[in-house]
Amino acid sequence: MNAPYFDRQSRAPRGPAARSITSALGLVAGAVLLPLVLTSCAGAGVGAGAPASPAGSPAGNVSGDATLQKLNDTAAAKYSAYVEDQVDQLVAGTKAFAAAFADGNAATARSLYAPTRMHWERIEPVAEAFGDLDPKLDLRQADLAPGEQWTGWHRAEKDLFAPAGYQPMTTSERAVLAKQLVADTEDLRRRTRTVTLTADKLGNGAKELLDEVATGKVTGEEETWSHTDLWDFQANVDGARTAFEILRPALQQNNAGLATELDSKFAALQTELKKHAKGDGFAYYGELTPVQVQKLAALVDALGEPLSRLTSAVVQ
Amino acid sequence: MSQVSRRGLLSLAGAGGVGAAAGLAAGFLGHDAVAEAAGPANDTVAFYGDRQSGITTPAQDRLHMAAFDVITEDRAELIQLLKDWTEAAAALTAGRETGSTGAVGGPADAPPEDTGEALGLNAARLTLTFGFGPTLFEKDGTGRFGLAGRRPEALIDLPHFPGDGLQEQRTGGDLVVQACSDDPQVAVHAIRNLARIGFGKTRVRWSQLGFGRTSSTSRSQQTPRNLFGFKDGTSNVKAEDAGLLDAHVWVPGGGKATEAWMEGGSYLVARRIRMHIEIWDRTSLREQESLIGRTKAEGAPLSGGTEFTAPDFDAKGPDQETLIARDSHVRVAHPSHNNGVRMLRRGYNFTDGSDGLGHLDAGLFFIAFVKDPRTHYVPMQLAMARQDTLSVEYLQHTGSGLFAVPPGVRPGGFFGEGLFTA
Ligand code: HEM
Repeated sequence: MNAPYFDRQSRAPRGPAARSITSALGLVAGAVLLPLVLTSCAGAGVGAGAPASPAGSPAGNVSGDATLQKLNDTAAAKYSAYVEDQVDQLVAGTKAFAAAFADGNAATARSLYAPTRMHWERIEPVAEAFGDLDPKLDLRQADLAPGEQWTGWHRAEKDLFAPAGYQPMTTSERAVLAKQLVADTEDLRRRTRTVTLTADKLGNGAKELLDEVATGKVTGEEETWSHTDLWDFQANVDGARTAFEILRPALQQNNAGLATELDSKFAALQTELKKHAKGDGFAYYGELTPVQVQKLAALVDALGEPLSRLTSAVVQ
Repeated sequence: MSQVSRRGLLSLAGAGGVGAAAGLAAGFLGHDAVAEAAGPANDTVAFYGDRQSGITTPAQDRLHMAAFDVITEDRAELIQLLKDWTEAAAALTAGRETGSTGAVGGPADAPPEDTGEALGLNAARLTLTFGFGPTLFEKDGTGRFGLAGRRPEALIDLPHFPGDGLQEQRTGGDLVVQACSDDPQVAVHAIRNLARIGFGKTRVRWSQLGFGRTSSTSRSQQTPRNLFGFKDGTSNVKAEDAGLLDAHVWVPGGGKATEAWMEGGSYLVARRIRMHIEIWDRTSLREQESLIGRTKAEGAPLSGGTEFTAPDFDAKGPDQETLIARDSHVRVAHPSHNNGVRMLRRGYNFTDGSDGLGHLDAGLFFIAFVKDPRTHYVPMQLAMARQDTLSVEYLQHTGSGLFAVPPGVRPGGFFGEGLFTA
């Protein structure tokens, strides 16, 4: 089966949201390896943006297949490092968030909410592979089954960005939720260390991240109360773009035209998204005009089409 | 009621040389060619009978369904409405105009009784199927129309399902009318005229057009395709399966006396399901097939065989994975994973314009008839919302309704009569 990232079976309902702007890449960069990644993806954060030119170019005269296999293996190793790095930051950020939340320090918790979740959103398809963890960490209220217990980020979100008439959580409820959030995230870290990635999973994961943007972020459905959908949006794009950059050497060899097209479509989307950057983060979803949302949606679709051809181009 | 069929009326007008009829007659001839292919006797579906038509009737090509809120609280007015609708339905399904003077036979200074857009068209196998929603019986805990205590237990308030994005203006309703026909104009004409008859007593709460059937309900029919491009209806419960219909679709006798009026009826589940078709179209063929559990070309199960071969959920490929993925739609919906339950599906493809973000607002208007939604719908929908990746990633339910569909009508009777007399 060509499951998207890993194992579809386990997939739980829709995805989550997003976060901070600390450039993904910056981080990654720090993380060693991937010179490539650094460049391009970095664009991510509100900041920069210019896609970078690929670093390495494919090897010389080895047989095509063997070369491709090697390129793809390298790509998988690089992406694993990216995932590792993001999960580490997610764990650290979650601990800080959970502490503030449990202490009733709402202002701090609110400020950490979206930036921390960005680490989750960047690698969402990987996290979704663990069918039990995804719902525990990232279920929206609208995704709950009758009688199901609600934990995770969005439970905290509702408490922090409470709608009118909302009954706040008690101190002890907050403590329990915070503890669970940290424990589940640490569990996620443990489990991601054992995952094996392949080039097709990278390609499909990139497409899925864009799908998430198209159905959940650009519509403002993900962050019902915090309205921080654009953080998620950026993080999903970061994750997709990182996968693309890492796959670029193989893509360059097999379909250079598609690489060029993806470069320009990623850049166009990033440019538009950057227009909504504010301070350390972004405008809230509700601050966007319908015309602005339509523009973003059109650029997501424009990227989604060629991105959906990435996998077949690198595994052919 | 006009006694002449719409076609007969026009033929007469044409023969009489009435100038104004010429243009109409031309259109009429065009349709007649189609009618001939079907054979005149096949134009109409019997209206009276033990069961309502539009359930096991071989699924027609088009749908117009409408749910209504009853705005009067007067029991007598409600009963009169049901009588008027029954009378109009008998005429419409026979290909006649509504009212005693029809579309053009009335006084020139009065608005015509029938709206007229079906003049010259035959009945195109029109069926009209009526049902009662939970809110007809009680609203905010108070009984209505003297029906307190009469609401069937199976007519539940559907629970919230994970991922639901139901819109108030597409959900619920006191009454429902399902109009199915091979001609969309005929189906719309029927709903429009019933809505018109209801003015002052009802108002349209929501209405849905379906342009193509996504199900076959008889072995005589070819399996159609839904908007994901897959054959749909392959392993549906069909008109020929009398035993399955009794076991899964018709409400059996022997229940509570207060629910005897539902015996021989059924429950209609309606779900407006938006399909993210743009994203689907970017999904590889292999993934699409794996999500459904069947091949796209022929609709055969991925475990092998042809369209009507039974799926083998244990068959494994060389990689030791099951050939039919565990999260595939067919596996999650199959009776072997649902306590043996079946349903009669009768849905339609729809597109309602666009979503304002550059996509078609398209999907499947899911309709199913079951004998009890508590056992035959809710558990399966819950399983799908959780385990079926098709559902989780590519679908969103945006509208919903559950209705008690009483048994059929005898000449002189009216829909749901047993509820008001017994
Ligand atoms: C847009 C939504 C849906 C699409 C595109 C879809 C598509 C399909 C397709 C292609 C099949 C295989 C062919 C067949 O046997 O008919 C199928 C089967 C089936 N579907 Fe769906 N479906 C949808 C929604 C639902 C829902 C909401 C339910 C019930 C809760 C459902 C219940 C079933 C059942 C019971 C089967 C037959 C399974 C078997 O016995 O093999 N479907 N569907």
